[in-house]
Amino acid sequence: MWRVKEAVDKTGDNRRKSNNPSRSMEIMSKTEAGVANGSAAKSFPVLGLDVGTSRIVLSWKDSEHYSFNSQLNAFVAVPYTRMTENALRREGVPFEKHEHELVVLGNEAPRFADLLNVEMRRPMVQGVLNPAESESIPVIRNIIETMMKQTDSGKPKVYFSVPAAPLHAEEGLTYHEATLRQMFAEMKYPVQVINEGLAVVYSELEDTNFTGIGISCGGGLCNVCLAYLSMPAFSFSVPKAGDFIDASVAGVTGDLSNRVRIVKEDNFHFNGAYPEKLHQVIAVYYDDMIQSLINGMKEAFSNTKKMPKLSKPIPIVLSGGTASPKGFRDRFEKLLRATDFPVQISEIRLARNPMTATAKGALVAGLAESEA
Amino acid sequence: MGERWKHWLLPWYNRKAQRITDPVQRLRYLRTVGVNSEEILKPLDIPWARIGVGVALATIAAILFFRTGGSVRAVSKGIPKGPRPSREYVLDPLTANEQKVWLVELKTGQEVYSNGLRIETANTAPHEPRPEEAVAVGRHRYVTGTTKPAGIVFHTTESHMEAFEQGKNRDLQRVGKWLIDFVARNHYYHYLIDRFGRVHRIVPEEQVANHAGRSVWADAKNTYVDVNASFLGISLESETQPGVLISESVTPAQVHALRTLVTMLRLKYGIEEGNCITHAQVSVNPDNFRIGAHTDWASNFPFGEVGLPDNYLKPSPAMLEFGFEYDDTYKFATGARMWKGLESSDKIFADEAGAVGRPFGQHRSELKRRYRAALDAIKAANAGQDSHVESEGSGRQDRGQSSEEQ
Repeated sequence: MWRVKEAVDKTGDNRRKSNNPSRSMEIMSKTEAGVANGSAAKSFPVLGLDVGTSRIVLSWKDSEHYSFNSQLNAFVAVPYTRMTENALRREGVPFEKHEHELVVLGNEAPRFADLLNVEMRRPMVQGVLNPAESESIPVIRNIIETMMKQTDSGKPKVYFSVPAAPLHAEEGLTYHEATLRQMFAEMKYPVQVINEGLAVVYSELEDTNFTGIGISCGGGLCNVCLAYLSMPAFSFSVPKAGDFIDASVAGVTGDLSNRVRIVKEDNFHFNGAYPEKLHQVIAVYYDDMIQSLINGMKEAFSNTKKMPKLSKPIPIVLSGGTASPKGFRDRFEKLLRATDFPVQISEIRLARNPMTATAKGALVAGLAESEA
Repeated sequence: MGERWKHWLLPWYNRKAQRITDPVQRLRYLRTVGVNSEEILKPLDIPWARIGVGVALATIAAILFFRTGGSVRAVSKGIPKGPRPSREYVLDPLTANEQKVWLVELKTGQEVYSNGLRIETANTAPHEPRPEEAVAVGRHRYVTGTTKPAGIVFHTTESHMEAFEQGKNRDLQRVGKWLIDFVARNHYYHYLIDRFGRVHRIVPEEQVANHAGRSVWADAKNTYVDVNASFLGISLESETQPGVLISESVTPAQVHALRTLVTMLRLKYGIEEGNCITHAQVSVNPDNFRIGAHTDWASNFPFGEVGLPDNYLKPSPAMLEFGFEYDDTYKFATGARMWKGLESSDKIFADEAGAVGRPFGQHRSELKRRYRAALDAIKAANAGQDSHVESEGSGRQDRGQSSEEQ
C-alpha cells in the first residue's frame, strides 16, 4: 500500500493533494499536468480513451477540433536514494516517490530506462492487464488521472477501448474490463466500453457509412473488426503485434526491447534496403507479424457464421503504432493480395493518424450517443 | 423474427446516411434508426411454402378455437428480469428406489435406466482415452488423470437462450441442435442436458473431455491438478442473465434429468459426493494465482435438488494446497453460500501457516512454488522426457499428514 503524501511541483508553488486516499504517492513534475497538448482545464461531456498495451491515448473534441494526449503505458522503478531523486529533479523528469522507490511514468520512462540501462515495466501485456505486474492498476490510474486533469472538471463520460478475444484462446478479457470499470468507478467517471477494431472503423470509415474492416496493430494485439453500417458483425484479435517484434528482435540482436522499440518507431521503414542489421531483423519479424495477422483474418473470415451479405467490396483501414512505419500499408497489401482472402477488398488505407485512431473512434461513438 | 425485417431497409438506411455530412451525426443516425442488432445483418430466408401451410393451419385452428368456446389460453411468462435472491439450500434426499440404478435398455441412439434416466447417444464424439497418471513434486503427489472418473464438474453452456415458450419450439430446437454440434465438435463435456431435460452424451465417460481448463480439486486421498482427465463434465444449457449473479434459467426438467444422471454416475463409479462440484470451484488462473477463472455455477447450483450436500461450503483446495487467492470479481460472482467456503479456506490457510511457523506471505509463496513445480512436471511429462510420471499407487503426503496409498 502506498502512503499518501502531498504532491509538490518542482517550483514548489503548485501544490495539490492526491484525490485518492487509498494510495500514497508523491507526484513531482516539471509541469503540473506533464502532458503534451491542451491548455487549461475544460469541461467536456465525452472523452475517448484508448487503453493500449503500449500507449494510453486520450481524445476530446474542442469546438470543431479533435485533440489528443498520449502517454506511454510504461514505467521504470528504482530503489530510492537521495542522489537519484536529486538527479531526476535536476533533469526535470516527472516521477513519483514511493516509500522505497522512485517511479517514472509514461513518456519519460524510456529516457530513464535508457539512462539506467534497464527494461521498462509494463502495466499491460497482450492487450490486457499484466498479471505479473502488481502495480498495473495504480500506474494506469495515475497516468490517466494525470491526462484527465485537463478535462475532468465535469466528470465526463469516458468511452474506453477494450480488445476482442484472441483467436483460438479461451475468452479471458472479463477480468481486464471489469477491473478497468472498477478503476473508473473509483475515480467517479461514468464509462462505456467499445471494441478497439470498431473504434478504428468509427474513426476512419465515415465515407463508407462505417462499413469495412478496422484493424488496430498495437503493442500486444492486432485487433480486427468487421462492421456493416456501423454494426459490428464480428471481431477478434491476433496475439502477435509490436511487443512480439521487439522481443523477437531483441532476442536475436542482444539489444534491449526498449531500444528496438525506439528504433522501430523512429526510423524504420519498409523499403527493401536496410543499412543496419537491426533494421533487417526488424523487417523479418514485421513480415512474420503481418503474415500471422493475415492468416488469422483469412481463417476467421472463412469460418465465421456472422458474415453479412456484402453487395460490394469493402475497405480495410490500418491503425496503431505498429502500423506507423512507412511502407507498412504497402507490405500488408502485398501479402494480403498474395493470399486467397475470402472477402473482396476495395482498398487498403492507413488511418489519418494511426496513433490516435482508436481514441478518436471511441470519442466519435461517445459523441454519437450523447449529442442530441 | 424480432427486428430482422429491417434487413430489407438496409439499402434505404445506407442511402439516407450518405446524405448526412457530419460523421458523428451519421453514426448517430445509423445507430439509432435500427441498425443495432446482429440479427439484422443476416438476410431473411423466408420459406414461403411453409408460411402458406402455417397460415392455413392457423386459420383452421382459429375456427376450431372459437367453435369450442375458446377455453385454451397460451401462457407466456418469458424469462424473468432483474436480480433474484440467492437460492437456499434444501436437501431432497435420494429415495430407496433411487439408490439402485441399472441399465434397462440399450439400443441405437438411446440408453434407458431404471431411475428414468434416458441418455441420447447419437451425438457421441469419441476423444482421447483417460490416462492413469500422476506427477510428484518432492513428497507431494498430484493426480493428472484417472481411468475411472473420480468426480463430476457442473457447468453452464453460457450459450444463446431463446425464450422458453411454446411458440418458440422451432427456435429452441434449432439453438439446441447447434449447441450440441458445437460442443461435440470441440469435445467440451461428457454430458449436455438441453432445456427440455434431454441428456446427450458428448464424450464417452472413459475418455477425456475439454471442460475444466486449468483446475484444482482435492479429496481425502488425492489432489487433482488436471480435472479434465480425472472428472466428468456435465453442462446444462443455460446462460447467465445480466443483473443476476448466476443464471437460474435452468428448467425443472433439466434439474430432474441432472439428478437422475448424477445418481447413475455416482453409483456406477463410486464417486464421492464431495467430489461433485461446480466449474467455478475448481477453475484457477495460474497467471495471476486467482481462483475462479471461470465462474459458471459460482452460486445457486441446485445441490440439494440433485441429492448432494451443499458443496459450496467446502474449502478451496486451490487456496490451501497451492496458495491461490480470490478477488472481488470472483466474490461478486459467488453467493453467500460459497462465501462460507471461502471464509473457511482463509481460516484453514491461516491455521496452517501458523502450524508451520511461517508468515502468510511466505507460506503462500511456498505453496505457489509447489504449484509451479507441478505444472513444470506436467509439462515435462507431456513432452515425454520426464521421470516424475508415476504409476498408480505411489505415495503422497497431504499438507503435512501422511496419506494412504491410492
